Amino acid sequence: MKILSNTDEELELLVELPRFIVWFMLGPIGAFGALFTLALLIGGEVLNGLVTGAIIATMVTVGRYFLTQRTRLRLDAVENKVRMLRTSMFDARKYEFPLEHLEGAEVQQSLSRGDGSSTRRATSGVQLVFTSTRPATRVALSGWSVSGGGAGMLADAINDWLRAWHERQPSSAGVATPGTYRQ
Amino acid sequence: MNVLRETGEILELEHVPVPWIIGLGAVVMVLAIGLIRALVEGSVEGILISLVLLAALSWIMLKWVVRRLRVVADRGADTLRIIAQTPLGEGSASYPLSALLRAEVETRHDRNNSTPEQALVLVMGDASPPSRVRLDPFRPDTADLLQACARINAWLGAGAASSQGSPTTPEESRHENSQQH
Repeated sequence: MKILSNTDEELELLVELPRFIVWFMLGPIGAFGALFTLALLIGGEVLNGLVTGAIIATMVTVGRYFLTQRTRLRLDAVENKVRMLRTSMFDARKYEFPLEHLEGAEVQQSLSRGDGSSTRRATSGVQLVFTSTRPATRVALSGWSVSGGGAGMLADAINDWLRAWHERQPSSAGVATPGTYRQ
Repeated sequence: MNVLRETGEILELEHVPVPWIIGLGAVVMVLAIGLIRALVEGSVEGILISLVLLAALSWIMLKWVVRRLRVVADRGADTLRIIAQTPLGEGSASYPLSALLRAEVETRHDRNNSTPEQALVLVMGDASPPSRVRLDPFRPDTADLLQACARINAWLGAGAASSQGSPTTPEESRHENSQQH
């Protein structure tokens, strides 16, 4: 999760898992799976080796598909557009919405109980709030959520940029920002 | 939802839940590999467990997940067709396009766990109050729904504007039409 550009004209963000996390999650499965498969094949257990290899390859490929999905978000004040590009291993999808429909960004938190312990760990994801519908529609920027302050930092950056953009508009009086009471 | 075709006469959108097909397809593949292994080894217990799991998951996938939903609006024929295709069969519904007022993204909540679920709704003006046709694509991306909604409304508005010469929202155009009549 990082901010690529933050100027009066545009705010550009990239939402993706860092490469080292993807390697950290998939690397050991792939490496140990390959070694185990090789050991089975060398030991003469051809069927077991092929089955294990196929299962490991499927797990790594599907894991890579989901973990390497990325979203590039661009708020464009020149053309008044919200542009979103979602890319994965197999496809890329472009979205375009009017900037005035974007109310702001929110952080959605979920609590998970990790490793059977009693402590709960919060993970967060960023959602865009579009007010072109009633009730407002929330669009998640990523399919996964992470712990730490990255999601909050992105949401703050989006809301700060939108607030500044609204203030620069000729008829900015009375524009509410997320979390403020609107009469 | 992807736009397959967009001309002045025809708008065609489709939804295929690719991430779900990939995710569940991988599980089916692993089960199939397990079944092959059980068959080769002659393990009756393994064959039975693999077969039951494979049959159940395959049926769920074929009935609900591997489902292509298409919305085809044809201005020339004045039809709006909603076609749902699965490997098990095809179902379709047809409405007069002239009755379509607008598209909306509607949020409703799951009865069991109150999870918000967004869907694309077509508001039809063939009854009073207008009826709402809720499309049911499998686990759509909310951004897809917003985009599809905007495309349908823009296409309706463009058609109404070209016939009337006054670009407005689809609903306003139709309201003006009804007042003129």
